[in-house]
Amino acid sequence: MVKLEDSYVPLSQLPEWSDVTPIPQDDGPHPVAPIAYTQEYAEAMDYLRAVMKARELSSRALELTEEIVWLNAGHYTAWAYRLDILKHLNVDLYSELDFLSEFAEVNPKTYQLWHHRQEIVKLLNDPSREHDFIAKLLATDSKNFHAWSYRQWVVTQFNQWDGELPYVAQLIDEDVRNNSAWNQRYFVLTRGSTQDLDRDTLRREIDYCLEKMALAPNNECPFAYCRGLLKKFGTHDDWLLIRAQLRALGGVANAGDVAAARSQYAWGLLLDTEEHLIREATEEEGLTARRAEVRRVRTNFRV
Amino acid sequence: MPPYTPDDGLSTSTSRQQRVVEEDIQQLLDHHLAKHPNGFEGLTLNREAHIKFIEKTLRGLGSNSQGLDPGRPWLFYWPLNSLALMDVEIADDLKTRTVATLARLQRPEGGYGGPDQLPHLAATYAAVLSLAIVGTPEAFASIDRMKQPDGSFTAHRGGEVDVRGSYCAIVIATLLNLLTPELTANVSTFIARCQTYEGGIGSRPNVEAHSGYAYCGLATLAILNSLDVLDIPALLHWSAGRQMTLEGGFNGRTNKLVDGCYSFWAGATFPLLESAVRRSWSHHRPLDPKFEMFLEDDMGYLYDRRRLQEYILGCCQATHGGLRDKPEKFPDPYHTCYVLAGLAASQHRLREDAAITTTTTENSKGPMEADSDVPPTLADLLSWTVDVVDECVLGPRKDNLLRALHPIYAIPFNRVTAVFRYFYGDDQVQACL
Ligand SMILES: [Zn+2]
Repeated sequence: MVKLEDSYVPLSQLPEWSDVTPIPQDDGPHPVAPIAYTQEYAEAMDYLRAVMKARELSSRALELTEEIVWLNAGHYTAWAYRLDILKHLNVDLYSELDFLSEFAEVNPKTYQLWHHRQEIVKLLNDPSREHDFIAKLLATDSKNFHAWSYRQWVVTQFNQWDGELPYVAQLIDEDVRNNSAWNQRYFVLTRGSTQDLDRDTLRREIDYCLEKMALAPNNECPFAYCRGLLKKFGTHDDWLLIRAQLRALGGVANAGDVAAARSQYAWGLLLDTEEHLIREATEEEGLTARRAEVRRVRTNFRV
Repeated sequence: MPPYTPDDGLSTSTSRQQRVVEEDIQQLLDHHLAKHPNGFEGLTLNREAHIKFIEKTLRGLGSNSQGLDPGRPWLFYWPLNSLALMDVEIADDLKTRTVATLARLQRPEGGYGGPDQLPHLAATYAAVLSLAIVGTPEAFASIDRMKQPDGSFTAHRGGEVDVRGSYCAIVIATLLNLLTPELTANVSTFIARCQTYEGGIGSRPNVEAHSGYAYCGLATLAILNSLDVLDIPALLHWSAGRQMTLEGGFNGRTNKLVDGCYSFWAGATFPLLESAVRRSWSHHRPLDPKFEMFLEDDMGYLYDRRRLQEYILGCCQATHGGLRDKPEKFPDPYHTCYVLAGLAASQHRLREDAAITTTTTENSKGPMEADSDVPPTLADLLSWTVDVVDECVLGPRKDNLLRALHPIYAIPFNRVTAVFRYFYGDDQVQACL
């Protein structure tokens, strides 16, 4: 775990570092905004400068980078150097994953941690530990931007689409307002924006949205998700369906559920739906022939 | 009963956190209203305390700021920009020392980083902007412009690639007159791929839309004259949704909490968006009818500028100086800079001059076809101006009015022209003004 202040023994007192002359930081005579580093960090940095200057790719240098990132998680130079050493030393990279798992629990929002982990997993070419690793962090903070971004990389890189949808559904069940989970749902269904949705899947997703809209009408997520799907994949019939359902949900026709009737998101989506249908109707008059041609070309193109 | 966000009888982690913040803010705003006979017009920017807070960070930071060491140039940009926005004269001695200290953070291989660390795009961006604020020939001359970023845009050697990197690289290259077709190639296509189904922009393709990246993406495209690669109505819809109903401030993502720093990241996207809407309007492209109304009536930005200022002045000022994320948080240099920047962005109406519209009409591009291979002209880059007649200042003007902020370079307007004069030449710039 994290090093404690009182366990600190200066590197200058350790025999394994006796051959190294530390290089102090030179900020100049009257620096602006200097940082009063802890003694531990300042000394570690003095030794890092020395080993980096000597291009030393050793296990003691590896340990030193570990000490530095514990003291300063965003130290991208130490992380980059650490990766160079790991590659050179041919050490067991699974133990590096262990270190990163431990590190992530304390510093889950450090860019460098996630980037470094990605590099290690690339080298190992083994994503088997990643889903659990990420899930554990998302259990603590279900909206961790870095964790989701990294998860997308793992899923895409190692073709791990199976199981992702149930996982996302579970997170949405836990908190229907978790927009990161909704975003991941879109990612999974479109295979990272590379695939169209077939008719059945789209209808299933619309139903899913409607269910979640009814559950909490003042939650924006299902409305935004539904709008996104319709704009990209919706047919005329899909838009008609959502209009009918929203009218019912918002009590527009029959002044039903009060909460739903107050939902700005329901009204917003309904407005967009009406607009879409009006525009479509206007277009239909002049552009029917052209649209048919576009569809024909598109169909041929896919075949 | 205040208009708390309804939880529809279904309490979740998100709704609980949201409620706590709303109650906090409501209480604070009620307190101000009770205290000031003029209501929110009595909210005052506590300049003196903020200046003291900033000057203290310039003198030095404690070991609890050690985490900022790798991004050391930010420790110049945040405070200097804060001072410049408040129109505080930067002393000659501070200018000289800033140039000297930053010179030590410039790397032999080009770019800036933490002390003896690899060059980093974000750190380089912060260093260049700091020197732009200093604004002396010595400051400009200290930048080794021949060794600035190449087109690869990783944050540092072996580092991550994202929209923030694109923004930093393009801004650096623009200010230093280093834009080339090689540098701008594929940038707009990459950013367009980062626009999500919600309409906002994520750090990378498919990643959840986020105000910080939306700003970076939009500002980059504005430089490259490629705003039409985006679905602008969708982005506008999403951006407008970031302003919180009760709080008045912005959040960064759907269903996340308000945070003062998004006053800038989310707020500064509006002048850019407005310009994008105007452009497509002037090109007679199909435009969402609801935006026509706002252009015709000249209703101004599509966010409530006064409500944002209520949040900033009423909730983001720490008692002993410095600005913060939200009431229960401590102030820091980062939030001080971006809350002030958001305040400045909301006070002045900014416009893009006609020059740019003419140039884009000539090589009119269809959606998704824009190529950023043609760098913008100098006239394009200098096309932003401040519309002085349309200020929106809550509270006493003498205390609260800040310098107008450039929506792309994120420094005051009065610091931008000098940079261009230095790196593009006086005559060239004069011809465009
Ligand atoms: Zn913040």
